[in-house]
Amino acid sequence: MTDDKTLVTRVLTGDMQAFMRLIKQHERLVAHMVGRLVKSEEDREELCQDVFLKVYEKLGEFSFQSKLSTWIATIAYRYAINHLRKQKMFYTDIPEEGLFTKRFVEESNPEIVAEERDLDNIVLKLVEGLPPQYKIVLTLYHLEGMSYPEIGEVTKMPEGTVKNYLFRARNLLKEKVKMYLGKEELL
Amino acid sequence: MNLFEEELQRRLENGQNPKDDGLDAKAYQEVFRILGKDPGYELSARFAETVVGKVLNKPQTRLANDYFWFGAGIFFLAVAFLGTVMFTGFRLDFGFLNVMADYWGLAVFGMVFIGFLNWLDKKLLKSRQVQH
Repeated sequence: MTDDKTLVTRVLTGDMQAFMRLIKQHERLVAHMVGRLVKSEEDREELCQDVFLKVYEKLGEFSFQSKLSTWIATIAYRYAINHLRKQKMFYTDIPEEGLFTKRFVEESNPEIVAEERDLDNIVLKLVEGLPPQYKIVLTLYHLEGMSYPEIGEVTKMPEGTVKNYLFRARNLLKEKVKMYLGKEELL
Repeated sequence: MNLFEEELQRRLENGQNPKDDGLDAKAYQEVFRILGKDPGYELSARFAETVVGKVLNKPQTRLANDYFWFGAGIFFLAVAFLGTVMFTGFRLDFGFLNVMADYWGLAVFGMVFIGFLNWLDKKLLKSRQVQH
């Protein structure tokens, strides 16, 4: 894998093969971030394209203060939340903790359980029902292996908030899985 | 935060097995395992090629747009100029240059200095881009 500095320098000199390599190295990251927040498959593809067009446009401003992947993730995050705002989906407000937890855990989601017998798919569908902030920290931590400070840099959230959101999101999912496992043990 | 739950999550984050073997621990293990799985958000097979294609086509579209707005700008400027001349009865007078005649050295210095700053700006900008 070509290192960030060499790759960026080559792209800046107009090497399109290098840009193609940059896209291929980071498309999974962008697809995960956008995919977790944007439901429509068509919008996802277009948004991911816009992210990389912006990356190309702004690459000259990248100062290597962070990893290239963190910088690209920041752009992807901004595009995804702007898309949510355009769709008039509330992004800034996290639902009130107690109420949301109660609703999320107590909701029986019979349609998900009926459709999916596989626990993995049930959990992945439950993730979709979480607030966007929870989804993004889960994605960056568990799928992209980013550290708390890196997630904070991407989302501009304080490290404490990142930790708190991760804890709460996993806790909500655990409560649902516990119910599922409990039922299985009874059978 | 619940300390017991926090400890369970912390151990799993560090790749350790939870000390407890209750339902909470089992459920957390499942959650961590599933969250690490690829959710399958696939992009089209020729995604990178499509983006590169858009980058390559963009300058032409942009250039055409730039020419359009440049032309439109000149046109509206000319219309505004003619309109102003007609409505105000403006007459061209170069009398102000007589005042400048005593300071021609300063005027030449000003032009050379602005030219030098432009040259320096381009030179520094280029070397900075190459460094990056």
